[in-house]
Amino acid sequence: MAKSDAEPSSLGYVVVGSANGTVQGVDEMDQLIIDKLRENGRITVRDLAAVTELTEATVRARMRALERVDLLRITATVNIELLGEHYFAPVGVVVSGRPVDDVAEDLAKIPEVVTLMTMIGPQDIEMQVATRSLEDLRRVLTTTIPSVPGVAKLARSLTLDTVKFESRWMPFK
Amino acid sequence: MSDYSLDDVDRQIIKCLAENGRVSNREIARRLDLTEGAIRARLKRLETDDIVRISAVVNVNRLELPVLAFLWIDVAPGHSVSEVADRLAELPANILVRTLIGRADILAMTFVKDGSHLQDYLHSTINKIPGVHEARFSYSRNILKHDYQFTSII
Repeated sequence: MAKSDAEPSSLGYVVVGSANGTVQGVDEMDQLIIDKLRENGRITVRDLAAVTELTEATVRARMRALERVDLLRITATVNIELLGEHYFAPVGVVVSGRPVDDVAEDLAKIPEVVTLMTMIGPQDIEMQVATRSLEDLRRVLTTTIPSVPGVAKLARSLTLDTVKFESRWMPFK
Repeated sequence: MSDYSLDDVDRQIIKCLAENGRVSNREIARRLDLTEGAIRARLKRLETDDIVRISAVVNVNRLELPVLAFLWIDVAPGHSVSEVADRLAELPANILVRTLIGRADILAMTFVKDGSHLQDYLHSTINKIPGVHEARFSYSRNILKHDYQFTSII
């Protein structure tokens, strides 16, 4: 069954949140479940039930509901800081002669491009390029990316230090 | 920073958990043809050493502050870029702060409601930080790719 058919009232259930950590449109119990899952994504349903004083079945149903409306996803992130040498390059792209979305789609296929968004501003596209060596970075920035049709101009930079990265918010479809 | 190398089994486990952080050790063991105990031990090591974190993330497409703004900040002569970056990192609204070579001294990202919200934030908060010389900005229109498997856990 299509999600939209199954969830006619899903938009009324969960739509908005704010960057301060609270998610509006969900009740206190959902918020508590979300907070616990942010601390530990593999907390058992039994422990969640104990914290919320709900039954395990209710906790399961609420978790399913939050995932079904695409509000919540439980995922693993890897701490690349501990995995040795790596480079992060924020790269801006000005597009010419081709629709921005087409160029963006091609660029997103490059494995070293880990984040890509289309922009309003001096650049049409912003992306993060991540590599394990300076040699790989050179190759991606000087050969791979410039050879995508429609890439007219690149604004390149290199990250010295990631001072803060708040990973509680992620885009997903 | 010490080198910590992941082997193929570690990577396979991480891949399973990136797809679904709630998948059971038993199911991972079945897929990789290993014992449940082996998976549990490896996962425990990865988590204890802070290599992998499994947690809930909330969809940015559901935020009431839907616009991701990039702030490109140049630091005034005589000020430390690191100190300004630390001040920017203290602001809860900034979700990312990086010091850079090239396009600016610092890149910060924040979610805003609209253009006037961003202007308020720049005037009343960012530009008041000592050492902030100039802040340019741009807005994200659409996020097409975000590979959150690999990131910095800070």
